[in-house]
Amino acid sequence: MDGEAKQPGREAEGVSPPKAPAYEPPAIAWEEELAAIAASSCATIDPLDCGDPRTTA
Amino acid sequence: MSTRRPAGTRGPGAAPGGGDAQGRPGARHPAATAGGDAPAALDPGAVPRVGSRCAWQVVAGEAVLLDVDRRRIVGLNPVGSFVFGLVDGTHTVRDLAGAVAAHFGISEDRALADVSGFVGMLRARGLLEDGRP
Repeated sequence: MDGEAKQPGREAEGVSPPKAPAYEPPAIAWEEELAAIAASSCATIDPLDCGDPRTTA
Repeated sequence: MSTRRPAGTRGPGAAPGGGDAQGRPGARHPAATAGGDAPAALDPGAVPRVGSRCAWQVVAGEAVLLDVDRRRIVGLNPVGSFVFGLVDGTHTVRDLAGAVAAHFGISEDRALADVSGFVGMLRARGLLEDGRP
């Protein structure tokens, strides 16, 4: 009646319960020193280093 | 605009899973897992709260912590972020582990071991402290 051929595995796919989010032990993923971030930020907000061809010739 | 901002300090920009919006990976933590440099396991009845020398914010599901004493910014993985978001000075370590077990579909024993180690490690760093009066 629905005119649609059944495909293997489709029914099972439709009734599978929602998966729990992936688990990994809680942990620190990354860490960075503020000084390093500040140095990086200062470098990139320099108007002479903004990628503008008029200033970076 | 080409300014960069440290991941998660304010506003959007932090990429989940570490690094920042520009794809900079950041320093992966050498002892990233809870058991890496974890001190002895905590009492499951301990009630952690956020340390007085720690500011934090969740950005795109990732908890980003400012460690004032060490002048460092720390990003937590998804499960760590989930745990940290529940720390409010009223929930015990066992409560936190129960929430992790229910949310991520793992055993309570495993959750308790992992959460206990994680909380102990953050407490040793001063990012969490004992919330008991």
